[in-house]
Amino acid sequence: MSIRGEHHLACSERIIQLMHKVLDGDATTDEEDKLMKHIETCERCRKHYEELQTSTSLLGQLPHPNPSLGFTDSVRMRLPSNRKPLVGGWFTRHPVIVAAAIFMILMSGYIFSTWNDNSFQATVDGKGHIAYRGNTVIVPKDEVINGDLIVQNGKVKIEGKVKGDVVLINSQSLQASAGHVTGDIEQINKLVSWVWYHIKHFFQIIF
Amino acid sequence: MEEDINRLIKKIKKGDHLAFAEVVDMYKNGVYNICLRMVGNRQEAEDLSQEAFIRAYTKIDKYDVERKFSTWLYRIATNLSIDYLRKKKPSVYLDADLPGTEDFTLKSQLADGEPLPEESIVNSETQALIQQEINQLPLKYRSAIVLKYIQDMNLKEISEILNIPVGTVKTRIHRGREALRKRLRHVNKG
Repeated sequence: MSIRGEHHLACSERIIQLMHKVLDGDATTDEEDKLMKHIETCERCRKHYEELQTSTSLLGQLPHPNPSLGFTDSVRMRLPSNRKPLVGGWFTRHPVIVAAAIFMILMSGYIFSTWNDNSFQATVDGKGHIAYRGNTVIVPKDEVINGDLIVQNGKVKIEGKVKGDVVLINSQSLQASAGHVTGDIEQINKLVSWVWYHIKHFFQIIF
Repeated sequence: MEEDINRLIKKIKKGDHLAFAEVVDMYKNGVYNICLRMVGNRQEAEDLSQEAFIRAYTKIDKYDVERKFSTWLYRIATNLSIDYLRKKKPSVYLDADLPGTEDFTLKSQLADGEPLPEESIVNSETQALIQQEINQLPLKYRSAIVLKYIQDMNLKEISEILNIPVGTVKTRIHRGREALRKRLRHVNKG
């Protein structure tokens, strides 16, 4: 490479920066003059500048065609019909709260309906036999209940054994000592504890 | 114009489709040409432009009235085009570059018989060639070049549309210009 060529490389970096400054419209009149003077004498820089000008002017000469004639109608057809009302927007923005609220409504409906049901009922959640005498549930002597005993609106008399919990809902126990029941004796006489029992039970089922 | 658009946007927020159609008519050429020069294909540009307007409609609540509407809208169009090109498989790129494809695009363009702006003096082959070279530009440079030389936007607007500092816009335009210079230097005007 000749000395002349090296000189060009050295000048070109600065001059090329200047070219872009001029093309951006950021150059002062002095800077513009400096570029013009340089490219009068430097063949390679003049060519470079002309090529930049040509390519940008070619870009500027590309046509600006319109989209298809049916463009606006096509967009209109695809617009979502009626924007959502404010409440709808709120519901979709807070899905967890909405789900929790729906759950609470359904759950409480179920719990209240069972609370208002005043009929006598006794269930064994497990294995074992129970006897009845009127509204009294009897776990006979020598009988072992493997599970929970749930009594609603009645009385319970445990002569045998319950290997689990005894849940008394609006009910009372006539005879139950630690020796007869291995689990807890749970007494539910208030609505609040009734609700709590159901919620607890519900989550035990899920998890 | 800005007052007009604010009046229309109030209606659009209430779900007025006709008001939105007015906005589409005002900006469809700008949105379409950004997409067209970004992707280099009429049909894809048409689809992307529709998508851009629909997105603008559904997100109109996010538009900040203090800012220029066109900037916000062109930003949606530019981002959609960039996302589209990134997702596009390389094989599709190859298809687009097959000889004859560009020509076909161009012919259908001319067949529509739309009036071309009078300053458009480059012939159809040259137009296809220029588009082909734009298609070769890296997306970073392409978006800056398209906004500057196709949409004739100033550096400040471009920086807002691309969400980058003005200095970065300049660098990208400089590099884009240099790349195009090398590719287009043999093209004769007209």
